[in-house]
Formats: sequence, C-alpha cells, structure tokens
Amino acid sequence: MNAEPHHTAYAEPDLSRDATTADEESPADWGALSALPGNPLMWILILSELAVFGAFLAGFAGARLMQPELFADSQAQLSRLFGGLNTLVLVTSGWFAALAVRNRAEGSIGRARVWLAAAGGLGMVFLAVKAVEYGGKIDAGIGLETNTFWTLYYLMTGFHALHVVMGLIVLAIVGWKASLENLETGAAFWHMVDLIWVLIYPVVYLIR
Amino acid sequence: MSDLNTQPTRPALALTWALLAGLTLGSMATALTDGDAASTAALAGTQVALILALTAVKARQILAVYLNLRTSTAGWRMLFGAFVLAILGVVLGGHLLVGVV
Repeated sequence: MNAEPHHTAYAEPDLSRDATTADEESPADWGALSALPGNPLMWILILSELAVFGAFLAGFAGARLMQPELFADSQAQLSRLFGGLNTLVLVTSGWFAALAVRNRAEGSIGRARVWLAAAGGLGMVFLAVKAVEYGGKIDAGIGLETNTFWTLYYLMTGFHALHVVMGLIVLAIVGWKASLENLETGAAFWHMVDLIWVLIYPVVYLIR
Repeated sequence: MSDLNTQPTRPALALTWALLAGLTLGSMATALTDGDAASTAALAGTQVALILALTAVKARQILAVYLNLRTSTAGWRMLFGAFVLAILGVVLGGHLLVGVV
C-alpha cells in the first residue's frame, strides 16, 4: 500500500521518490503480521473464522452436555463414512493446492493452474458428497428444526459448505491472476476451509 | 512475501498428506471399534481423548506445512496452536462432563 498522502492534480511531484522506492517500502507496513506467509489480511480472516467455528463447536459441545442421548441418537443417523470420505477429499485437495503454490514458486504457471484445478475439482466432489448427505436427511424428514443437534449440524456444515463454494471462486480468481502472492493467499483460504472441516468432523460425526 | 526456498518441498507435502489421511482413518477406526457405523454407544473417555489428540496433530500439520506457518515466528505458531488446542479442550471438557452435570 502506498502510504503517501493524496495530493491535488496541481501539486508538485516529489522528485526525491520514485515508484520503485515506494514499491520496495510497501511490505513493511504490516508490522508483526509481516512474519506470516502470503497476504496478512488472509491470516486475519483465518483467525476470525477459527473464532467463529470455535464458538460453534463450543456451543455444540455445550448442547450435547445437556442432551447426550438425543445427540447420540441423532448422530447415529449421519454417515460417519461419508464424513470421513469428505475429510480425505479435502486434505487431498489441500495437498494439490499446496503443490500449485510450489509449482508457481518454481516459475511454472501452467502446472500451478493444473494443480489448482485439481484442488477445485476435489472441492466439487466434497460438495457433491455433502449434497448426497443433505438429500438423504431431507428425504428422511430431517430438517433444520428437527432438534438441537440437527439445527447445529445444518448451521455448521452449511456455513462450512458456503466457505467451500467461496473457496472455489477464490481458487478460480487466483488461477486467473496467478502471481505467487495471489496463489499463496488463495491457497491459504482453501487450507483454512480444510482446517475447519478437520475440526468439525470428529466433533459432529464421531464423538459420542 | 515468500519464495521457493520458503515453500515446503514435494516430499514434505506428500508426507503431510499421508499423515493427514492416516490420522483420519485412525480417528474413524477409534470411533468405530464396535464395527457399527451407526452405533449410539458412548465412547470411552480415552477414545474421545485419542480422537481429539489425532485431530490436534492434523490441525498442527495443516497449519505448519500446508499453510506454511513453520516459516513464521514462534509467537504466531504458538498463537494458532493454542487456538486449536483451546477449541479441542472445550470439546473434551464438555464430553467428560456428560453425566456429571
């Protein structure tokens, strides 16, 4: 970011500075956040998302404490295998996204885009599996208002699925504007989506 | 801004993926020891603790390698690690309190 104050069109240009000098100064503006890889704003988002989903998971644990039998009976209607499959899909997708960044750092935009497309393809597989899961529950008459478990299940997994959709859009954008920083930042968003699912899966699907 | 030297190598990424996949399967196996994928039987506290410990290791790997946090400062690594542990600690605490409250 250029920290120079805005001047009118008639202001005298500062000839002691040139564009190169201004560009070289820009990375120092983030303070402690500069120590993080990629765009620091993405890390602020990652912290925020961890806080939001952390609150969701804490709320889920608290609600289970009040109604353990209801939560166990409801959880048994989930497909633990589908949930596990989707975890494998996302961690593999994360691997592909990291390989995209690696290839871009090596200078190969083409290979980076191929890995990014593969990561996005697996993201769509994740959404397809989730759609099958939701479809099965809706067919069985299980909805958002069935009980506390299902309300929290739909809210948490639905909000996460929305992040997957957003992640696919982000991956498409950074695949188009494929600078190393863009790829690193887009992949960071994708890994955040991966990380959050890794936390959701055992809490919602496995622990009882 | 990072460069090639700060990026995780291909073997490191492959190893991380294998670890994440293996720990996921380990979590599933721990939760499904009775062989019934639709079981409602409560897990033992040790099983729950093990599943959450495996999850903590997975989260740490994603942060350190996929998100490349290993190249950052110890302070940032501790902050994110503590955040994940706090979330999983609340979940474990909630589980251990079932039947007590």
